[in-house]
Amino acid sequence: MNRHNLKNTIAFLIFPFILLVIPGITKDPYLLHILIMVGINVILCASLRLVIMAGVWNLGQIAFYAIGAYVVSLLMVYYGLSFWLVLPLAGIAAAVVALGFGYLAMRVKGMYFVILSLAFVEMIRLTIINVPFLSRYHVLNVPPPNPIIFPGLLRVEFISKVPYYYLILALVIIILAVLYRIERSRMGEIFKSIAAHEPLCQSIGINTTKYTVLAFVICSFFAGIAGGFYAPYLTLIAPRSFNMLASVMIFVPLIVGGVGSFWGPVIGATLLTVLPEILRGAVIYEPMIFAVILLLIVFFLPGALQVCPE
Amino acid sequence: MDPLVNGVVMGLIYALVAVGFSLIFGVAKVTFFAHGEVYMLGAVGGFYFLQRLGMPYGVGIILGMLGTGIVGLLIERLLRRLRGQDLAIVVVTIALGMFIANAAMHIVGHTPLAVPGQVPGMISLFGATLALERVVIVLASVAIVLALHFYIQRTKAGHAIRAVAQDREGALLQGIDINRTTATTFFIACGAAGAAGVLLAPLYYVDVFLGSPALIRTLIVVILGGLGSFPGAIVGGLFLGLIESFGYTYIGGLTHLISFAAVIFLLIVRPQGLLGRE
Repeated sequence: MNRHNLKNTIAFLIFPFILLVIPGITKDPYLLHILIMVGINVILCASLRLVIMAGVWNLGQIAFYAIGAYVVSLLMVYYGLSFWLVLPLAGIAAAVVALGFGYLAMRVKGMYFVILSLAFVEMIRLTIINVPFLSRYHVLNVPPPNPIIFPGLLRVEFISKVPYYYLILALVIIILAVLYRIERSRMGEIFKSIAAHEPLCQSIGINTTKYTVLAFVICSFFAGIAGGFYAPYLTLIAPRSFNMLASVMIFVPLIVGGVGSFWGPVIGATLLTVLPEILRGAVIYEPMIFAVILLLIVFFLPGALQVCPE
Repeated sequence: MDPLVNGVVMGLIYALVAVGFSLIFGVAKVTFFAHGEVYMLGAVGGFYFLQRLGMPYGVGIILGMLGTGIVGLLIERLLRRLRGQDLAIVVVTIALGMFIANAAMHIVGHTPLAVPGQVPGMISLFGATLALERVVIVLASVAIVLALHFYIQRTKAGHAIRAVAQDREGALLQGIDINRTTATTFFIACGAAGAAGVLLAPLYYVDVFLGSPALIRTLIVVILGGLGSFPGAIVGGLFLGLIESFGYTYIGGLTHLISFAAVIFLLIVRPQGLLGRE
């Protein structure tokens, strides 16, 4: 085991432990809410990194987040299904849509894909707004997840923020571990090499379309899971929140934290979730301050945007 | 008749905005996501010129063009440092758009602004009665598109623009000043968007957040017509304008889905867009 692996192993062991005991120290709902939102953004951002790593400039992550949120909400509200059954379905639905859209969209590359993925975000949002079945009341009220019951032992009701906190923590750990394994596997190496030089990959017999679509599907699956968690947690969802700007905002932490390192997006997502909370006092200027911070980052942290370290 | 006229009016406005986006992409390789906000500046500027200062329509359009053109020059200076860093450019232009829209909100406020009609009266054309204002807008947009076309195809500066779009190094070897050509492109592209904003201001309410819907339409138009293609932007703009106008009249809100379905369908049969090159 080399030093790099050791460092990551420690990170995987110590951070979850600290995070695990936080609700034991404080049950402040505001703090827990921020941590839960950090968790959602970490999932969105870390999974988005996988597809960016494969050279696919996907700025449409929020579309799959929305699909996940709506699949869970509709199945829970109209069919009364259990949250634990529909959460995986949310991921699968997002993955299926990603497979279809990805297969078509991979015909275009680079900036064309950026534009197309942003257009896709609007397409999903407008579908939600305009299909009567989806937006019967425009805002959907979603029930909380069904309680977890181990007869005689334990009964977890989703009333306070604590169970949500542990649920998102579990999801974050599982998803980060899966993403980490993928990156270290042969598949991860193929993703990186496609980003570095696609024609070269094709010349040695790698089906690059297959792999880029695969990266896209994996990334969208996790985005769907995050959306599936988000809807019952916030208890109401509206199509308005799944817009293009929000989608770009998922991409931004990748730039702040750097695309090249595994922990970059995790740190970036944490910073960019906490930052607006600090700026809350200046709420009407918040978008402007945010924009200025973005500009400063890009101009004064050059190299943050490199996918592969030179 | 009404949907047709409205479709052509809106289509030409979309085309004017999309031509600039496409031109900037073709020449500077910049995806200019603040283009919607430049159009918004034109529209809000139109309110000030026409309503507050009571200027004639024509003067307002020219001032709007110059003003947004200068904004374009300033933005080009800022983006020059990022040449070649495509992802950084995406983020910077989106952040700029956000900044412009919110700064405008603090100055102008977010209530919709009404600009009075500029050209009263009706006109009879081929047996149909049309509002003269719409005819003027159509003529003015066509004139601007033709002027741009002439500029790019016939003048020396236009040749430089096309040369840089085709082959950057090649153009440099021929002694073309790339910075200057890029700046010119930003000037005329933003000027066209600003002119579109002023032109449209008397027809609809104007507010500081009309930039992002305009940007989304621009993206659809350039995907339809082919990114970087001048005639493609015009064909795409007219196509989208007509789809939207007929759609709203006959099927309502689902119209958006039709334009997106058109985008997806086009991707399957012709990924490079209607008039784009491989």
